Amino acid sequence: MANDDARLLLDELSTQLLLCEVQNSSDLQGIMEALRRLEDACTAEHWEIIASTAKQFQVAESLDAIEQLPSLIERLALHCVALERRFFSDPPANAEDDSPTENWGFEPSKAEAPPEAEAVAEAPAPPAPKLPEVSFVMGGTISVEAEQHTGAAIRSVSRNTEEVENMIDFYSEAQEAIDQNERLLLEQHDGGLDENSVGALFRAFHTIKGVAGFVGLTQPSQLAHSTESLLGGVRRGDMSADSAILDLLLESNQCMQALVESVRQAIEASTSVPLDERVDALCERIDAAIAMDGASPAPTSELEPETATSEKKTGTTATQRIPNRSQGSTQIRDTLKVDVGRVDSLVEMVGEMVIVESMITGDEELRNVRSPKLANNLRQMAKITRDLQKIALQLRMVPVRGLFTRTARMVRELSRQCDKPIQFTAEGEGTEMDRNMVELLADPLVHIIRNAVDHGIEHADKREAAGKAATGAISISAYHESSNLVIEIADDGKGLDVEKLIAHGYERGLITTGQTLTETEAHELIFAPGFSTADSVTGLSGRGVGMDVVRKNIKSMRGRIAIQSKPGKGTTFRLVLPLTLAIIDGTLISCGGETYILPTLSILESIRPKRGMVRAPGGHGMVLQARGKTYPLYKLANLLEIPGAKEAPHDAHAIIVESASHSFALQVDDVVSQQQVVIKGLEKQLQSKIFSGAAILSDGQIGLIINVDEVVAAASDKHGQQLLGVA
Amino acid sequence: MPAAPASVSVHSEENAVLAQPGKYLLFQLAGEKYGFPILQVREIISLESITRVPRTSECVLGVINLRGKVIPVMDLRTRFELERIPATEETVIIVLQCELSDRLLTIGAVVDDVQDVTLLRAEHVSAPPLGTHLEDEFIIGIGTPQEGQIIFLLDVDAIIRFDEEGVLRAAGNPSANNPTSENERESK
Repeated sequence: MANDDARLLLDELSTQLLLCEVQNSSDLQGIMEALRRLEDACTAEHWEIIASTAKQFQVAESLDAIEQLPSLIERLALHCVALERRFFSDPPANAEDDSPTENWGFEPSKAEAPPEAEAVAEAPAPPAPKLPEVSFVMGGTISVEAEQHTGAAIRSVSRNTEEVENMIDFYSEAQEAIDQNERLLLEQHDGGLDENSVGALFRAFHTIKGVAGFVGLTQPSQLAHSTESLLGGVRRGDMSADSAILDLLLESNQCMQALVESVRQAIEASTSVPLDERVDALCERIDAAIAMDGASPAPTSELEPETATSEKKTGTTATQRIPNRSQGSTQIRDTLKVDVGRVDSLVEMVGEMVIVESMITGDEELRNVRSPKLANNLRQMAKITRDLQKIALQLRMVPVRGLFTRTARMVRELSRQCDKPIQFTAEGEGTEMDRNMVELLADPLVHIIRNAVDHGIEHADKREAAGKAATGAISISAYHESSNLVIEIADDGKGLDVEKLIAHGYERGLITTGQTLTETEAHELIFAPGFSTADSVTGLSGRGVGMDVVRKNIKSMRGRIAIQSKPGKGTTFRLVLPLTLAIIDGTLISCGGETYILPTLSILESIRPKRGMVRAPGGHGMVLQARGKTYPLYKLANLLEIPGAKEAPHDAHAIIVESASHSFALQVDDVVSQQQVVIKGLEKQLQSKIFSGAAILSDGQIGLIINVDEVVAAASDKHGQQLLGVA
Repeated sequence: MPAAPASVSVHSEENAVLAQPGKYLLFQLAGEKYGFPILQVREIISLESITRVPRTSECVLGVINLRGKVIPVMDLRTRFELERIPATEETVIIVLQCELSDRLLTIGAVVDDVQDVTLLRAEHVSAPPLGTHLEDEFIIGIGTPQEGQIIFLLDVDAIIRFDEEGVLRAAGNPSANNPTSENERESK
């Protein structure tokens, strides 16, 4: 993050705090979010970058400001915590406003203040002790008086699946961080802590704190907070990382491990998380170490005793209840982090095994051996191989949840930026997809969502005028359909304006005069490069880039995108993607004795042309007429210089294929079969763009996978035209 | 003729690659003996069915299924602009492996006949002579294990290198007459 950005963020934050514009929990979340970003930017790794950027800008002042950042942030954080407490000590009216609409993202309010939250603590909430007045200077002085609400400290959370899943997420994330910490700490046991390790530990504890706070686990959060403060002191150089500190850190990590373990047990048994007595003592010792060692105690440490005392007042017998899943208990499965390369080679090997297996079971000589035992073993092997393949492919599958959470966060941000209230819903977050596709899908989703918020959803007043709810709705859903993954993004905005689209199309020269477009074709225009329907260019979208990237990315995953839009009702983007990038549904075709593979997803239909359906205007190639449409007809044999293929179209098959630019027909000898094939990449040395990859077929032979988008290009270039006999 | 400055520098870098003493796999091509550094030879396989890849460079015969991996196969005769001949019983594929732009690349090279593995000591290896024009981009040394025997030592990387468009670099030396590169070579 450039220092300018950091300053802007800080300025905005301080102004907001100064003006006391913090109205509700969502503002608070915004502040927290900004703080987290700032803090991330200020971790040891980035510190140098920021400092050097600042130096480059030669702004002495800003350099000073930057150096003050960490302490400012900590002060700000303190204020936020104080504010948070104040807000949540209010009758949870604010939280009620937010909770139903925002069931996603980072929400400190979520776990702590659902309206129906029942205090498990038997002890009545003691009168709230006052937080010491804190003031900080940033373009002015502000003092915030904050009340601490202890009742919120220990609460049960609403019982639903999501909460349990959050808990499980906490478990796996914390476990990972703890393991990493342990490794780091043990490595360092002899000498002191080096800077990088301190940074890594700091981040790890910070993560635990954040996640624990999110799911409403107070003790892990409290411990992580203390430890983080300790590490913060070490990082600032306030205290030296001697062996005493190291031991303390190790102890803290072990204690955290115990806490996390008890969370796991609680989730599995659907019981409450017992409070660990050691935590308070340990926190106190950590705080004492900070106070003793630190020449200037870390600002955050002021908060520590408060938390600790309040904890005690509530009583150590109190427990935090784990939300129940309605059906049975939840099992946390142990996870294993494995190098992706290993998984990839495993999947590859299994793919090979499947081929060899089918070669063995299909072997003529073996078939002639009359042995029930052999037959039985072969069947067994076939079954195991299939199962193995299934498992191997599942290894790379991850739920779309992460992607949806990101989307949700973005909708929230955009909705605030555009001042359009939007309700976001996500469905089918558990649907799994290939890990490699998640990243490829992130960009398209950003553009689609941006378009939906910016162009789709109207402003509240316009919506009301149109008789719609003032709050717009955007929903994203994922589900499996045959062997595809479908993701739908729907908004209930104004829909696409076909006339406007066409007018723009003319303007940009994307369509020529006299051309008539169907509604679908008009919708498709938005995917054209350089097309934008925004009346004015906004910061969000309308710069003419975006939707063409969407289609490009989707195509690169061998997927399809379709738009359904009704004026005034909204727009739905439907992405149909293969489940995995490693396997495609292929249609095997033969031509002159050679076998090629076409991705089934790109095939519209396969027909046997009758005489008269194919026309060949002299020297202009051939056209095929089918179902009232005319397609260019390319002979695959000519295109690929295959000898001995069928000549006459009515003897052959014509496959109508949909490519990125347009549809065309491909003449092949025969359609052999459909099967799932494992894609193998082709080396660049082959310089054959017309093939996107290869697959090993069940007889061990290689089938080349035709890249339908390149067929058009190949047919249009000079060489191709020569081959096709076009003058 | 004289190449652009950029390619000159690339070329001189290539000349910096000189054959090192060590073990070489010897094979025959149109009556001459060549050698690949043994460390870059993965295996030698018999000439099995090659799947033709249409619309690729002339020297690429196609792809083969090497235990589940699809690897391209190149005809070394065509690559060296020698006359193509039908396969004989001796014809084999040498599977080569090399690191190209940080990626491990496996490629098969069809040769007339594979012979044996020879250890070439430092005194047996010399820089390629000047003035040879055909394959001197590929030949990075001459091995003379004994009097009267000549082995052309090949640079695997140069043989399978491709330019930015993914086109295999043409055989021959585009800047063979370039004085800079020749001087450079002489100084080695």
